Amino acid sequence: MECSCKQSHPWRTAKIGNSYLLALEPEVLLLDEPTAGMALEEVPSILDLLKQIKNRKDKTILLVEHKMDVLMALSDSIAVLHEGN
Amino acid sequence: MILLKPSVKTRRFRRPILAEVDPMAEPILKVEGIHTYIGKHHILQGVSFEVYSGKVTVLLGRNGAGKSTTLRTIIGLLSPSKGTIFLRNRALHHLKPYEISRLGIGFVPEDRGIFNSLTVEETSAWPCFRKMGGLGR
Repeated sequence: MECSCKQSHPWRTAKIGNSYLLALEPEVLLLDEPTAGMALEEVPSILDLLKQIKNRKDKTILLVEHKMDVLMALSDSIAVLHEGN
Repeated sequence: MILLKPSVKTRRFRRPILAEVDPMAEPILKVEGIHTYIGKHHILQGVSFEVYSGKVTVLLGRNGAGKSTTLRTIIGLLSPSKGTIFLRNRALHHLKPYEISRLGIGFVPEDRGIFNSLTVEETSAWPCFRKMGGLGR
């Protein structure tokens, strides 16, 4: 808690970012690659957090993600963008 | 834009399956034909999709397809030159980011958007500060 956010590990920074956003209690969450820059073994912790949010059913999430396992575990629907269309 | 529902078939890269959406359900977020430029570059060229309440919608595409630009346009960091964005039938596309945020949309950018100079404790206390009145804007 005392260390600066800049010194935090990438997965911890991601958790800080997501927790900070959740504390503001928005209805719709826009998450841009929440697992970016993380090692594979660190991804489940963020995945668990997002699953908890999903299970609460009171939040709507729009997510940009490259990792297929995260995508398959979380998504209800997928929109495919191709060259800006 | 193609709307897919993840399933065993899509996982095996067979023919995509259209999402099963309740025809009576009203989308919470509706993006219609947005065009966004970054400098001279025409990044978004008529993106349209709908996001339904309580659901997780994933934007998928290769690098440079416009995924992050779409999120930044929704939150108001980029202004669409054409098209509309509605949150529960309220137009967002002319509003400032802080006004959109106050309507109930939160955004975590890829770099997390946290204040590097603050400690974790100070960062955690920031939402409480904002709820108590914040900076007045």
